[in-house]
Amino acid sequence: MNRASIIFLGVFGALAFSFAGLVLTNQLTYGSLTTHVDEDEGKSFPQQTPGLAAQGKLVYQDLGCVTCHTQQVRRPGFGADTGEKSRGWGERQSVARDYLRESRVLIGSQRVGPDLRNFAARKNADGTDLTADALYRYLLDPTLVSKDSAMPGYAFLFKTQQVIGEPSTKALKGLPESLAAAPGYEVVPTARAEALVAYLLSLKDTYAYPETKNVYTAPVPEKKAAAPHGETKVEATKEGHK
Amino acid sequence: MSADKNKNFNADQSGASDESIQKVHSKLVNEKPEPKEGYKAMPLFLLGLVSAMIFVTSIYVVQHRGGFSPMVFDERYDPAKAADKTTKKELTPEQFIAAGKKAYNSAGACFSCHQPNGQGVAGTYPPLAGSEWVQGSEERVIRIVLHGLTGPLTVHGHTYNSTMPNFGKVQGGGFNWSDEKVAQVLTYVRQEWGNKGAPITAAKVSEVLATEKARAKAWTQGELETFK
Amino acid sequence: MATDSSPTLELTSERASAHPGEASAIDASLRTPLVVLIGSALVWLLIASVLGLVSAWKLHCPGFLDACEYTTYGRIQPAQTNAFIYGWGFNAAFAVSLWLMARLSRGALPGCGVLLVGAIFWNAGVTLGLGGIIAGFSTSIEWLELPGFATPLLLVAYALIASWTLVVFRAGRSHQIYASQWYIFAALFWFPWIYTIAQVMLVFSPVRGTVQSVVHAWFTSNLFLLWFASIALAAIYYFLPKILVKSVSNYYLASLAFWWLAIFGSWAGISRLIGGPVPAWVQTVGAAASFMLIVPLVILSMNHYGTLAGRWSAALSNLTLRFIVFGIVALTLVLLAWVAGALHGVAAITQFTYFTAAEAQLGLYGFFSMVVFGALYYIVPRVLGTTWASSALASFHFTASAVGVILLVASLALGGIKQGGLLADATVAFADVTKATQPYLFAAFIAGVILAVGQVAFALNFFWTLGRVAAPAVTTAKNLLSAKTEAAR
Repeated sequence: MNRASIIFLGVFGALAFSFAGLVLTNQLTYGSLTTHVDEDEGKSFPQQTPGLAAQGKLVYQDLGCVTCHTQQVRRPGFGADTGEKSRGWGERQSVARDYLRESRVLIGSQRVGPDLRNFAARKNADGTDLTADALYRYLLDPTLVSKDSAMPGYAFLFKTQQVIGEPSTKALKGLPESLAAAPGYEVVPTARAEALVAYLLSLKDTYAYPETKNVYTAPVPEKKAAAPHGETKVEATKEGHK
Repeated sequence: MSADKNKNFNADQSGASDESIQKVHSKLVNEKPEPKEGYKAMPLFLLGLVSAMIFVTSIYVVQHRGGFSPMVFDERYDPAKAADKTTKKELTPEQFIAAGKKAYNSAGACFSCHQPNGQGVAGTYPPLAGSEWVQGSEERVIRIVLHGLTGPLTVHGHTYNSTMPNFGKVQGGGFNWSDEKVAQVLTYVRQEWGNKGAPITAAKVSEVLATEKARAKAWTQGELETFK
Repeated sequence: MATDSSPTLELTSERASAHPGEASAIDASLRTPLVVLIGSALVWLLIASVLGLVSAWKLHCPGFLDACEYTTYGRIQPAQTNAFIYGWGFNAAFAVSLWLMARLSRGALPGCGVLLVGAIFWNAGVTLGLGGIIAGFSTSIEWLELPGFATPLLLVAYALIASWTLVVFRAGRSHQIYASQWYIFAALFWFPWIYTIAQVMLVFSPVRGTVQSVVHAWFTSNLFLLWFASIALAAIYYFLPKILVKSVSNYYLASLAFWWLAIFGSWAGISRLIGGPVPAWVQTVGAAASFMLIVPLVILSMNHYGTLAGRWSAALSNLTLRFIVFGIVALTLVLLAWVAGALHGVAAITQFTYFTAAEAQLGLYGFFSMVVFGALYYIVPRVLGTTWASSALASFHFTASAVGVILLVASLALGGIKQGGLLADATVAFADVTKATQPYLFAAFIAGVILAVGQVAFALNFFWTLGRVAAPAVTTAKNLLSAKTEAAR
């Protein structure tokens, strides 16, 4: 069955072509990227996620947050991710090096919820930074903060415990009646909630690697051409009188 | 009617036989259908389409390849063109001084001895504010930063004695600052805290470094005084 | 001279063929494995439909079932897609490709124990994997969420089933290789390669940084184009000439479409990474390959619509072909949407919105599943040696599936475009974007209900038919088959 062998070779070759061209080429050209050492700050970027945040990444994975949230900022001019008149989801486009230290890259593919790449760089409406407390409240029930949110509640990340002696410093305060604990009890985040919040508060891609300068700038039109004929004439006469 | 509508419910073997499907199509694979009259439009149209697609996509790939560089993430950016426009973005004088201030205050650098207010520490680290060494000769102050300074130093009549490490690109150096960075930090200190020294260019720093390329050890006050 | 009127190029009917009883013999020998595969496929389809309804309702009403971590949206939605793809999709694809290969190679192997073991291992793997997703071991990689411990089971099962099919291909009596066989042969070879690479480079020994994203995009598009689409195209190429008794129009171009799809299709998936953190040249090359999909689109349309030309009434009166024609139209739309989605202007709006979900549904449900439904309606009576239990349920299944798919795809696509347009306008608060998409999500939920009801009808019909066959009339069935064979001679 000679034709079968030809088909087999062709089929093998077709996939080998795309595998080599896409997967292997990229693995070779930037799969060996290293961290960028910044001389001024004496650190190398991207920085390793701190331990609790790394655990939080695992919670992010097991709860499937990537189903609704992306973690990639597109270049300016592509939707409203960054640049002028943007949603403030990032100062710049995400580059490959931002994801260098992640064991599982979760750039996501659906924006049922906003992009989270620079979540920790966001500010509240009044300009203050995000706090862990506010995040706990949000995770407990997003509709408290945003009435029309499609995000489900994560009440199972919290537990109600009896107040023994002093109330816990981690207890959530100011919860509405429907969610607040009975008197003598308090709502406290579990370890998973703490890890998840630590992870979310570590999401910040503000370092400007050298490759982030490789951004297209539209050419500025020459100003000379814009001057109307009359002006140059006046200038010429002025020059003449000097 | 419904039996007609939903034919194929029965296990009867109506329809074309598998053998004939194989046989007929293996002939058809090599035979184009007979042309009716004149040219058959189809193959010509397909040929045109294939050629057009190859042409259009080739142009698309060339236009948006970003130099095939793994460091370019914006498809509109052309590294070749961008290199022509500005080899290096020129900093404004304010940005230059700001960069110098950042270098001055960076980890383990100038501020740790000379203090953020440029006052130094009595007896040990000379002040930079109002210092004649800082505002004076370019040759001297550039050398101090490049190669360091050791031994006693007199500033406005007061003596200071310590060792300043080398910051420039010299052998055995721990900082290895670029010439640009040395120029920036010098320009900063020469105009800060009431100082009135002229800015120093990176070119001048490079010139001095080239002149002294054999030197690795720190300067002393006596050696520096030979320079004007 | 008319195109296909030359006497040697006309198809002969089965009854008049040289080996009239052969087809029935092949069908009978495949009965047990096919029943197991089709039965499990349908069970998974029902499970996926239920999970789909739950996740669709959750999008509309986020508080639904959110008290328990096992039913949170982030676990139910991947469970649904994986049940659909690996549970329904693969079992059905195995069944159809086995039967097609056996029929076209005109031979089957005795002793289908290998296939049964394969089917059991596959279902065990999918069950274990789905349990893992619900329990929180999901890998969080789209379409690869089944945890790593399920992978070996799936690969072993696949090896058993695929090797059986390939042996049939080699050992069959047929000397020619028809288009359907190219596609099945290629698909069987391609899948383990893309799956193994994806598992190794993403799960077991992850590559660095966004090379993972490139591997992932390569995998997901190839899973659709090089596996599901190939099996469906194999079915289309078989059933169109078979039922219409007309050779495929412009068949000489079919191999060009096959090779073009093979070579450029595998690069086309990267267009989903446009704007993403991968080098610009990769994004461009992916977009260019997506544009190239126009060529196989045109050729496949010529083959399919050309064969249907002049036979529309015959096609639409036949149940199998009604499903297949729906699938053909869906394929045209999916490829067009793919090409359009690679344009930057379009991608800026449709990326990350429900539009991409609509494309996926159109491809997997509207194209692959509908074609496979049609194929199953043809295969099951022949394999079981009886008629379908209820023609009413079958018609209902078609109507429900067609209406459901159209409503689902339309609502998600329109919702996605609206969502994209609002997202691109930074002055619109995110909560308002969510609010604006709610009516479309509700419509998608209704579509899901219609589809689920249709699939229940199909499953009922199948198990009822199976029940009739398993009833004491086993001898009657055998007589039926031999009687038909006698009549055919």
